[in-house]
Amino acid sequence: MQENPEKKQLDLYGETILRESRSPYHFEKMPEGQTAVEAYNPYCGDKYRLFPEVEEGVIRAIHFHGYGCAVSKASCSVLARELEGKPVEEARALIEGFVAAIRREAIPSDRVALFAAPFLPAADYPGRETCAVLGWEALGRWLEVDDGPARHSF
Amino acid sequence: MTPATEPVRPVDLQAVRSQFPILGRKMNGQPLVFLDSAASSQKPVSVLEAMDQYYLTRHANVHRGVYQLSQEATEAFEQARRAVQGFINAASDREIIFTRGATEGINLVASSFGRQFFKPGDEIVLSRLEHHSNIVPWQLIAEQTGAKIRVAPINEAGELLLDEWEKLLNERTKMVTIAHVSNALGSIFPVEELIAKAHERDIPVLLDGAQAVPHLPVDVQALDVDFYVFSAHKMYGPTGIGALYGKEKWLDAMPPYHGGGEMISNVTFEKTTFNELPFKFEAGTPDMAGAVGLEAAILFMEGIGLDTIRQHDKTLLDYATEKLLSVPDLKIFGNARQKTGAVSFLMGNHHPYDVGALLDQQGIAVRTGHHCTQPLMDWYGIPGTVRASFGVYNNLEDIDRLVAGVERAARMLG
Repeated sequence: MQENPEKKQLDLYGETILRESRSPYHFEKMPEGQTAVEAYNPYCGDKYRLFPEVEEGVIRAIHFHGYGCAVSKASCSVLARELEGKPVEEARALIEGFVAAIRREAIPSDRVALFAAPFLPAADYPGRETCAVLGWEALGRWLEVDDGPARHSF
Repeated sequence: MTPATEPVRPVDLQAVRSQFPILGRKMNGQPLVFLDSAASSQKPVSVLEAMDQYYLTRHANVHRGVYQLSQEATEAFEQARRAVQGFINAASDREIIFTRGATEGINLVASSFGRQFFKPGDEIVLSRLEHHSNIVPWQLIAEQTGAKIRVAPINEAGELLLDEWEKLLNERTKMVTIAHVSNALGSIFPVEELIAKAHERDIPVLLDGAQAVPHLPVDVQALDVDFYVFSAHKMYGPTGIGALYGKEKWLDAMPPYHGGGEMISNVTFEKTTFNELPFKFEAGTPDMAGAVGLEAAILFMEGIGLDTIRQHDKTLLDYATEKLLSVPDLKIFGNARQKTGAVSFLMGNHHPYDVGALLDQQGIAVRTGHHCTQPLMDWYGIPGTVRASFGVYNNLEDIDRLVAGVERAARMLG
């Protein structure tokens, strides 16, 4: 296979990702005892704690804190903003849509494409789609667990 | 009166770079700056031509045929072995085993030496700076034999704590294994001293020379080292071949590693006797073209001059260190007094992947991550570093591009 020597990758480090990683939404350490979900990739060392607050089947807020690359941080930031105020069922669908879009398993709906678009080039960079979905997959797993939000909803 | 030392001839960069067509490529629209030679160096035209010529004019299986072509192939292969012998100044070509690389060399010694000599409770001493390939083979044989791994500490600068290392040596120590040069930080270990101290207690020493041979002249007899391993592909040679040096007394006492053709002298279903050195450890048809390529790589390096290569690397390393330290918030990991070949760093709180990816956008190839030294990165408490490493084809402009690239990445990441 002859690759084009002048080939330019789609830019993963676009304006949205750089902006979101420089000033992430709800990037804040929460007090001990608050429900925390760990998003950890041992391969590259990215490690965040997400703090979802679920009340009556609705995600009231998500804060997050930790260390990782610009892509994973921006992605958690978008997650915190986009899922705030969403019923758990809707959040699940958005997470599923986002992860499938990044992994190029499905074409995103218009709704998902609005916030997933800046992360779509990740699949062109070896291993980097993991950065884009890290927080989303962790929260998705937590929401799937029966005693996750159920235990913490009031 | 000290005799006047002859000044080291500077490297003719234009001539050297013209041997590497890949350096004319563009990456993401920018001229390629290749700063990942510690992972694998680029190959000069002379190496590829030597391998082509071997395949096009001299190839047949070695050590087999009575016909002339087979003898010519055998001669080419054995000449390559003698070139390796000369390159590291081994006493005999019987002590040079061709392997697939440094990793296989370590596995061979760990497995074969370990099966023969390790007993439950015996100890293998290594350092926190080791590449995974100088940790895992020993863990495997330790598990099989009941031996234990002892890890010598380092200081913040990336230097071995000699006293602490020495305290680990005792009557149960059956092997000392250590990198000659650290791949992650570039530290050069004081191997002469380590070997002397180990030998005072009759402990054999293996040196992982993968990062040393591209930069330093190596003399295994002067070092008095027991085993020395390296890979061709980090020293301008082809991938998939390397060499293990072992003192004849050890290699004679060790059982074969792989079984097959070439390594036997007589086979019956009742009893097989093994071939003499070095063939005892070379089962199957070897990588003849690779060996010829390795010889060409040695000739390439010797043509430039090992002292010239060493001095050029020092120039690049000193220049890169000084320039990188002028970047605000940049921290270099590994400040050993003796270093070669690589500079490892982090910028502010930015993840190494971000810096590496933004450098790539500017055509600059560096390695990011843990560099197969996870225990070392854990000890520093960092996810990894950005590592720029040098080959003889790099110039000061490459370093300037790196520094400008890092500054640009810093601005973008904020």
